[in-house]
Amino acid sequence: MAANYSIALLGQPNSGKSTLFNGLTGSHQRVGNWPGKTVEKKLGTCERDGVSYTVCDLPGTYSLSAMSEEERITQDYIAAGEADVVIVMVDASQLTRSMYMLADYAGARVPCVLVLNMMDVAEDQGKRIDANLLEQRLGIPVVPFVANDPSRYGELLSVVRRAADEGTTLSSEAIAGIYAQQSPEWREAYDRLAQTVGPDERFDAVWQAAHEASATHDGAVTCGSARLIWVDQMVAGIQSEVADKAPAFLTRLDKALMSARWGQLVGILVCLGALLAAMVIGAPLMMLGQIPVMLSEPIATGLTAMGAPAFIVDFIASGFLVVCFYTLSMGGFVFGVALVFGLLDEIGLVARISYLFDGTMSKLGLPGKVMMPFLSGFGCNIASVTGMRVVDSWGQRVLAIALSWAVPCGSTLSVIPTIAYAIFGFGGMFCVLLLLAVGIPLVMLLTARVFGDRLAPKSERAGLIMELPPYHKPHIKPLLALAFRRYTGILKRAFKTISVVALVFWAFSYSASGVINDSIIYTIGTALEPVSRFFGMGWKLFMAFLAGIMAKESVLGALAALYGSAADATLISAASGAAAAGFSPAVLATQVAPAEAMAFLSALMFNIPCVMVVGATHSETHSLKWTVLISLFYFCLALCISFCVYHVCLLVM
Amino acid sequence: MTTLDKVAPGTQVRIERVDGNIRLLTRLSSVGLVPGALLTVERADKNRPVLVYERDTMLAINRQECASIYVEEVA
Repeated sequence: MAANYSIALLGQPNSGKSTLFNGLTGSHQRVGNWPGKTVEKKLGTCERDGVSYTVCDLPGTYSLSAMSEEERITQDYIAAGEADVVIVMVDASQLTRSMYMLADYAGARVPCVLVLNMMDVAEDQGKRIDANLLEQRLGIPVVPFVANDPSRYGELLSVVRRAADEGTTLSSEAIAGIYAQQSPEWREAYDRLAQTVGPDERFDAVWQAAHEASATHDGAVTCGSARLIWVDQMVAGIQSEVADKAPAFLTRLDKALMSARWGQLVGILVCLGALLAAMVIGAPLMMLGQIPVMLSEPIATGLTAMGAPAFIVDFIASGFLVVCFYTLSMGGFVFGVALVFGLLDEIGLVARISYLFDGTMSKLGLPGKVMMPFLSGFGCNIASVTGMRVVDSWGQRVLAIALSWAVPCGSTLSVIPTIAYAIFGFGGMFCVLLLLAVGIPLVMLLTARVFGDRLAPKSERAGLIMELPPYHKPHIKPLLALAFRRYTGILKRAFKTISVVALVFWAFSYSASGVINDSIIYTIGTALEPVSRFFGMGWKLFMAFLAGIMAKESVLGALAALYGSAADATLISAASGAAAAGFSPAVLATQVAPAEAMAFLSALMFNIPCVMVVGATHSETHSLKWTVLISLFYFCLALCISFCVYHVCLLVM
Repeated sequence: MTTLDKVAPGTQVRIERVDGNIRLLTRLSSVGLVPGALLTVERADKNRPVLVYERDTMLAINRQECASIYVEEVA
C-alpha cells in the first residue's frame, strides 16, 4: 500500500466537515471550482507520522440523489474512485436525523468510516452513544469525534488507514431487505439491474436500483422511507438520553429571538452587538495601521536628507505607507468579524438569525443568514465579502457578495456626509439619509434581478428547509486560528492589489511642479470631460469619483488636490488626513453646481466599494469572470445613477 | 386532512402525503419528512417559516413547502 491516502469528506452542511477539513489541512489548501460548475472544490493535503493524505471536502449535501449539481459532483467523485476512503460525518447530537446520508451511502464499494461529530454537544445534552454497538451493526469503523479538537486527528487518521487497508465497506444487505419491502419501484429496478451491474462498479445494484427508483415521484417517497427505517434500526438502543438542558441565558435569548413581535429587532440587535464586539476585538490590530502613518513624516524627512529623489520620497510617504495603513486597518476589522461571526455560528445563533430573516432575504434569492455579513458591510465591505462564507452554495455566495457591495461601508458613510454637509448644509444630510433608505434596497433588488437567475436559479435554491441546531459550547482556539489565517490571507492579498493600484494612481497624479495641471490625470481628465459631462459630472468630480475606487478616503484627498491649491495633495494621500487638512470641502459649494454635486454623491455611494473589496471578491469567489462582471455592473450602475440624479436635480432644483 | 401550514402550534401530527417535485421530496425525506412521520408543530407565526420538532431536530420549513405536506392530527 502506498503511503498516500486519498480521503473524501461526505456529510450535510453544518456537519463539521469544513472544520475537520480546515483542521487537517491548515494552510495547505487549494480551493477552486469544479470544472465548469458553480460548485466549490476544496482539496488539501496533510502529513502525519510519515504518511501523506489528500483530503477532498465534498460539497455539503443532504443525500446522494444527484438532484442538484452538488449531489451529482459528489456521486461522480465517489463513482470515479477518486477516494480511497470516504469519511461520512454525522452530528452525534442529532443522530437519528443526520444518519440519512449514511443510509444513502450503503451499497457504495468504497471503504468508509463513520465519524460521530459533536460528541461533546451530545454529552452536554446528556446523550450517551454506544459507538461500539453501532460499529458492530454497521460493520465499518465508527469514531466518536469532536472536529475542533485537533488532539483527536491522529486517532481518526489511523482508523482511516485501517479502513483503507482492510477495505471495510458498508454492506447494502440490510437496507436491500427494507427497500424490497417498502418500495415496488425499487424491486422493479433491482430485477433489471441485478444482472447487469458489474462487481467492479463502485455502486452496487442495490444502490443503483434505489437511485433509479428515487427519480420517480413515488419511488422517491418509498426509498426515502426505507432509508429512514434503516436508520431507525441501526440507531435503536444506541443512545440513551437524559433531559436536555441549554444554559439559562441562551434559553431566554432564544425566547426573545423566536418571538413573533420582537424577534427581528432582537436579531438585528444581536448582529449589531456582534459588529461592535468585532470592532473592539479588531481594534488593536487596526491600530497597527497608525504606525505607517506616524512614520510617514520622519521617513520622508529622512529620505530627503539622504538625498533620495523627490518623486521616490513622495511615492513612499504618500503612496506606499498609505497602502500599509489601509491594509492593516481593514485586516484588523476582518479579523474581528471572522472571530465573532465564527463564534455565533458555532453557538448556533446564525441558524436562528437565518430563520428570522429568511422571508425577507428569500426575495433576493438568499438565505436569511446573509443578514449578518450584510450588516458588517456598514463597517467594511471586505468583512461582508469574506463573511459570506456562511452561505453554503457557491452560486448563492457569489450573489450575496454582489449584493453586499451595495452596502456603503464606514468610510463611505463618513466621506459622503462630510461633503454633503459642506455643500448643502443640513439639507444635504437629509438627502444622504434618503439616498441610504431608498438606494440600498433598490440597488440590491436590481442586482438580484440582474444576477439572480444565473447564480441562484429558483430550481436550485436551498434554504427551504432548515434545521435549527441545538446550542453548542464554542471552542475558542480553533476559531482564533481560523480568524488569524483569514487575517494574514487578507493582508497578503489586499497588499498586493492595493500596491499596484496605488502605484498607478500615484503615477497618474504625480506632478513634478506640484500643480495638478502638470499631471497625467489632468490631461486624461480634461480629455474625458465630454463623456463625464454626459453622466452629470465635470472632469474634476469624475476624477474624484474614480479615486473613490481606490479607497473612499481618497475622495477627500482627490478633491483637495483638484479644487484646492494644496501643493502636496495627491489623489491617494488623504488617509492620514494631512493632505485634506488645509482644505475645506466648503469651497466646493462655490465651484460646483448643486445638481452636479448631488449626482457625484449618489454615484459615489453605489460605485465599486474599493479595490480591496474587488480583490477580496476575487479570492472568495475564485472567479475572475464574476469579479469583473460585478465590478462592471456597479461602475455602470453608478454612472447611470449619476445621470438620473443629475437630470432630476436639474428639473427640481 | 389538512396541510402543515394550517396546523396550530402545539399540535402533534402525522404526515399522510407529500406533493411536489422530486427535488423537494428528496430533501424532505432526508430530514425524515415522509408519510407516516410524526412531528410536533412548535411555532406557526405569520410570515415566518413553520417550526416543527421531529427526529431530534428543530426544523424550520417555509410556508410554501408546508402547503404541499398533508397531515392528520394525532390525538
